[in-house]
Amino acid sequence: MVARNGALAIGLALSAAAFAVRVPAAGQDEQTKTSVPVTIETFERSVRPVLAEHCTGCHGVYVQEAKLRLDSPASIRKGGPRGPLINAANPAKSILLEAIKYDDHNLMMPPKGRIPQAQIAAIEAWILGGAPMPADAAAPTPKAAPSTDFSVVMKQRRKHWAYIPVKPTAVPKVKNQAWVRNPIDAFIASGLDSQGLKPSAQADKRTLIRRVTFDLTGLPPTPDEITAFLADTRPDAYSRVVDRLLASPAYGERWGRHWLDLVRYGESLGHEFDFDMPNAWKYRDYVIRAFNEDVPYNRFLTEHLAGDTLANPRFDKVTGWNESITATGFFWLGEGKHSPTDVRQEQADRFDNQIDVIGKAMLGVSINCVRCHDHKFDPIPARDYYGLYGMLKSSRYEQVVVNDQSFGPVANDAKSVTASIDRKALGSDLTTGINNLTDAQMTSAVAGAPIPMTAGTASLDAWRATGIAFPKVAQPGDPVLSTDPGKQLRGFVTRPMVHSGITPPKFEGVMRSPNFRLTKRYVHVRVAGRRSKVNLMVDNFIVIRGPIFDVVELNLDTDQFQWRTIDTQFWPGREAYFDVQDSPMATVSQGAPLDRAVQGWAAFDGYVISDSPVPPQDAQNPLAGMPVSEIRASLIWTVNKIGKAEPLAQADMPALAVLDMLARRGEIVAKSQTATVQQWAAIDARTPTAERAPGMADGASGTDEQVFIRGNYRALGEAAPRLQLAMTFTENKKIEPAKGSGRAEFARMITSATHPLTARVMVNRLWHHHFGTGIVKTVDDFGINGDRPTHPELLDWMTINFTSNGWSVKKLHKLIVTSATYQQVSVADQPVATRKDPNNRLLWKYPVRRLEAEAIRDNILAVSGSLNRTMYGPSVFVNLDPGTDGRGLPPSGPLDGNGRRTIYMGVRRNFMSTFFQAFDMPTPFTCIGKRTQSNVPAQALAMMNSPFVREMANRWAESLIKVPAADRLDVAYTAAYGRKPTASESKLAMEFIGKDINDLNAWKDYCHVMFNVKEFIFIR
Amino acid sequence: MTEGCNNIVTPLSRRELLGRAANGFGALALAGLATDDAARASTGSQIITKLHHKQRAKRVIFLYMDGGPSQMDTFDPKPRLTLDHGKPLPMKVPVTQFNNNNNLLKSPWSFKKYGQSGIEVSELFPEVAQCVDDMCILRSMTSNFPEHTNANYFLHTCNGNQGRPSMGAWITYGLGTESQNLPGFVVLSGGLIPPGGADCFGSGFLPATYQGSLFKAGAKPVSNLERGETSDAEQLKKLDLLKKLDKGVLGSTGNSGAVEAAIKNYELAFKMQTAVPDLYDLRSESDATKSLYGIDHQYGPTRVFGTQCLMARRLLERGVRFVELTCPGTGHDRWDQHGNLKRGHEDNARAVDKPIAGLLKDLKARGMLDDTLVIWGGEFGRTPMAQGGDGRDHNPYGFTMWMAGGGVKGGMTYGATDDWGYYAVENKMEMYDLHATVLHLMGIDHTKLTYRFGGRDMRLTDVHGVVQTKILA
Repeated sequence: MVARNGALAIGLALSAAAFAVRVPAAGQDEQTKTSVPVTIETFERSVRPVLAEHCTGCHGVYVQEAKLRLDSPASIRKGGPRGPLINAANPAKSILLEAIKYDDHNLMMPPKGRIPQAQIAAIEAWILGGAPMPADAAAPTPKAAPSTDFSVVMKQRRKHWAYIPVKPTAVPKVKNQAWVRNPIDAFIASGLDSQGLKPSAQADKRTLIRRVTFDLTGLPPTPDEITAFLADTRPDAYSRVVDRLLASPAYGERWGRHWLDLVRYGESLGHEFDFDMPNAWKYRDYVIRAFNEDVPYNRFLTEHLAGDTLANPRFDKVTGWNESITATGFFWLGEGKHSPTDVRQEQADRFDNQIDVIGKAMLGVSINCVRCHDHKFDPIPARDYYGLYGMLKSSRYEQVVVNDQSFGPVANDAKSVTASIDRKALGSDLTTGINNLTDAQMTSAVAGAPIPMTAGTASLDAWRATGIAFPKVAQPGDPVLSTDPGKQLRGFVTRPMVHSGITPPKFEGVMRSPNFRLTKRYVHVRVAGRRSKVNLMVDNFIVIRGPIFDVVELNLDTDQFQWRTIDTQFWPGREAYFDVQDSPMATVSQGAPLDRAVQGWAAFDGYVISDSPVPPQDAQNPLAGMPVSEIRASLIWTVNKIGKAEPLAQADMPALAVLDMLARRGEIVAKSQTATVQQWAAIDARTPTAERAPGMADGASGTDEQVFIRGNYRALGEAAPRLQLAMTFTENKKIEPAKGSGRAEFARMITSATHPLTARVMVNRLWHHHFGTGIVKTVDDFGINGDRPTHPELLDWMTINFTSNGWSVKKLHKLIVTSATYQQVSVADQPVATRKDPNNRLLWKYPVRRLEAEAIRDNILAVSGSLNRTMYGPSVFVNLDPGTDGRGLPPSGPLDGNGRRTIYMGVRRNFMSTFFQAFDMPTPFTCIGKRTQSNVPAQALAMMNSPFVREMANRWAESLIKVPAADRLDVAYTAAYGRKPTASESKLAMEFIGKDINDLNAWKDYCHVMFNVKEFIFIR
Repeated sequence: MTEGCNNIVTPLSRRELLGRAANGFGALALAGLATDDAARASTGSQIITKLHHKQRAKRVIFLYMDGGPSQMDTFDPKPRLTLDHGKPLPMKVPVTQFNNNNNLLKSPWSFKKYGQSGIEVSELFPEVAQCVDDMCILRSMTSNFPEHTNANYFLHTCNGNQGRPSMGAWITYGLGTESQNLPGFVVLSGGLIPPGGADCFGSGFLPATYQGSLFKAGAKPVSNLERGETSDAEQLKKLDLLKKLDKGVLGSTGNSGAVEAAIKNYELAFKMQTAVPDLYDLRSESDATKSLYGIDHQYGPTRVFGTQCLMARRLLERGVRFVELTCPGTGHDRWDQHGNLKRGHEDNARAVDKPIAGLLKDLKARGMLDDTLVIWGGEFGRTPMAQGGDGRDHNPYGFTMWMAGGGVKGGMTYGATDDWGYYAVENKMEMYDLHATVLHLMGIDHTKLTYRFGGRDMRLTDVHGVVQTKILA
């Protein structure tokens, strides 16, 4: 501190002196500046002290922020990750100067405030004078030498239990063998033995069926189910109940909701206007079905990460929709900002959230900690994070077609129609047409058919299409058929290009370019189309909205090719790709949807990036000015090739452009193709409507990212190849380079049965939900900072059991809930256990647990008779508290949510239900494997006073009053708590109801109280 | 008394813990977490067992100026801007939200010196200006985001994304509340919900106990607070039955701590039913007081905000730890004057000027200003260049907030922007620094107030933040 202050005083004195004597004041002209001699002494007197005063604290011998040092001439010459500090060729553009002048808001140093103007002027003069510095010995070695060899650290950290592969574990032999129902119990009993404890008694049947029914389905057992179970004296009666529950559709609704917590499921984008995320509910439905069908968990994860790339996707039996691709909607579920001023930062923030969720939900590790540096605790280098970043960057967001199966037949039909066009007849039709044209028609068509002077789209091979509108790169001479048998032809493709006019109008699809850099400001595209779009996707940004981002979207509505220009002033040097869309539903989340009723097509004939806002001009057709006879001959020459189906060349383009114009004008027709066009129209008519859902598509080739130094994308470090992920324990294996984005390969890596984390994490999640606490308590963090497992052998045993049972979640459920451990009572008089293990970590009894928000509401609906068991479909809007306001306010839904289960209530990020949030439903911002358990008055107030609970109590009373008075209380107790009332409870009830046993109002009040009794929301 | 409330005697017995946990407003850092002492170990949360240093502010009022007031039109006079009016800004300009930037636009308002300190304040705030000797004007605030929502989250939580705990939640988590029947963190809505919605006041990964309770503008400030029963007696009859039945449940769950806490929660909820109407009953306030706050003002929004400010004082008197006020609607888009700067800022200032001055004077007169920290400001400032002809765009690179009372120096300005008011160039203050300083004033070391979430010990200030010691009294 003293030293720094000393340096400060000297620095000030010296620089002030320097200023007075030698350095020009700001504002003096260039001539004056250059006339001042700048020497090494300038550096020593005016520069070095300033650097010592302001800079070397962070860029010096002790600390080297951004790997930069400013404490010696050698280190100053060396520069940092942004390159040399002094730009010898153009000193005024030196990074050092820009930083201290605060010229560029991306780099303003020192960060705490601009240094005095006199000091800036001194440094500026020195730099403009050639920045002379003394020769210097090498910079002293940094004092605090951190271990830069992260692989050494990695090796050490890999010894942490969770990174060691799962080992087969023998089931322990225990004294209390009689208690053991399955191997789980042996492990638990062994743990209890070691502490001299014993398990508790088995719970009674009423308690068990209530516990397991809520646990597996989130609903109360019905009175009939209770009666049947009580009456069933077979030894496997309980096991049968479990089988019934696991087969119930309500199971997926319950456990699907647990999964939705992990993937921060929401149906809007949050941020300022909480824009809608169309079709998000289809992902929710996918999850419910996947749990119900017991899709193997490794398959489930694979579908999440790469469902769009699978050779054998799964299809829903009922709707026929592609389940696998629907799973990729997972990538959409975070927040989305509209109109960010820094789109690259937005990308970084969005991907950070994705990586965070992938890490925690699937692997139980906090990968996003390495956004700024190698992990502080776990064996995860920063490069891994950016390997995943590259994977995400190489993927494309799309509202994917989920009923893709339905399009196969029409796509094939269209293909065979175009293949079976009678070329000879077409050629002769065209020849006749051309011969019949007047000279005026001919010259007019030529005049109307200019030729682009630019090359077409380079490397169309690298473009990738989804959907069926772009089955191939359109080739010169491909006819653009009409669906009008009277017109037959709408034009011709003039050269290889992206063109969906070669398929029927109702065909939908998107074709995308590979990534390229915005090296110059203006992007000019030559496009045509109807009811379609071309979007320039910058840094994968999809929330296309003004005020900044509306310019990247071009709506196409002309048959004539035109040059359109996009000003990319805000995104110099950024990565981008084109999205050519022939689809009524925009493939981006917020672009205005096109009119579904009007069918369209899109054509993209190339682009040019330039410094000029003026697009290239098309040239006059070279046929113009030629004698009409020569034009005619030239057209016939090309038509002959079309008739013979010969490949056309660049030289045919002028003639094709004229033919295209003539066909568009209807001046040449193809009568021979009337039948073809009828077939074409029939195919169009039977083309189904696309059902879309948020999902992913892959590009042809991916791009890697570089490590962002300290998480700052402006400071790029080492390359981070996709898939070379040390985190997935592959650092010593040879890995193939990623194809496409690498999502498919990543999915294969983490769903391997030998991966130490994936299966263990899921097994622990099941345990957590069945017992309220995981074997590893920190369910989303198996890392070095997380809790250690209480029963590591049990966890490993179950993990092997899980993976060897084909990753069947249901089989694991069954194993757990049929264990004796699970079936214990929750109230046991075990003073020793209470003292030794007050938190029940060894599971000497079953824990008392409060129901989650969803189960509480569903329970109220079920008991009041209001539960509507309709599954799936668009969400019901939440009933908003009166006075709720804000941007993007959704409509308020019905008080009872139409009786639908809570999983079907809409999840609008900025308008979460206050009822659910009071009972700890999380805001969906990241993976939440374990909800908080709070106790707030809002809970009591909601149960006491909310119109919903009161209304449900009234409905329940109205149905209850119809039950004969003598049975009424039994019926009520069985519905609400799964048991009969005690004598004292009956007495209290009768006192409360009063003399008139059929007083409806009294019963309404009584039912309301029943909902508030804690037994209603607690499970024993 | 208060010191006792701020300190947790450890170790707590299970019984003590339950007793405290039953106060659902988070009497202390642990309360909302735990109905089971196991929760404590699982969260790994640190608890403030003892204040880290002397506490200067016991409570906070945050006057949140939604939309981003303009610094050079309020508390940061820029004579050079006036001189250069109509010229281009002689610096590189980053992309702004609308990026429709014209030349420099001088402030339409003049500045005058006030108080002994002689600090200049614009004619937009003639009333607040009277209190300038109690105010510490922070002229070098910066934010990381030029978009409202991210900037709002960042202002409140030091993170630009949704789902993080608001500063009120962190402070209540750390210090608890002294109120027995009101939440520790109350947001008094003037009617405008900021971009980002209720998550600006959320508890994020902290338990719901600590989330800001939104008291809405209008007749029913708190949801579900009105009983549906026609009389207290009728409700009490039901609660009496409930109590008896719950007693049985407690037995059948083996005296589960969680069940017991949930039962106690009803007592609190019942008390709240009367506490909130009492709070809103202003009959006990004198006409002079009401007038001081502008409750008799001719301009409607002034009356709304005046009532909020008075309510804020009443909440603090009842032991509430953190009160945040949002702005009333003035027919403009908050302080967000992309156009029509003159009318918009005049109306917004008119709505809050008198009430804020009234609040500061009233707190001072009652001796509360010494240990109450008042914070004023928006999520960012505005550009010195005109947007279009008569507006200003968002500017996170340099803007003004101010604080008063609670251990900050009065009558001083801190930091500076450049000659035109665009970039902070002196004593640049990040949001993290602001929050570190606020926590410091409350007796908390911002590096030590942590909560284990997702494998990390999370902090309000993330890994940043420097206490700005020069502004401490």
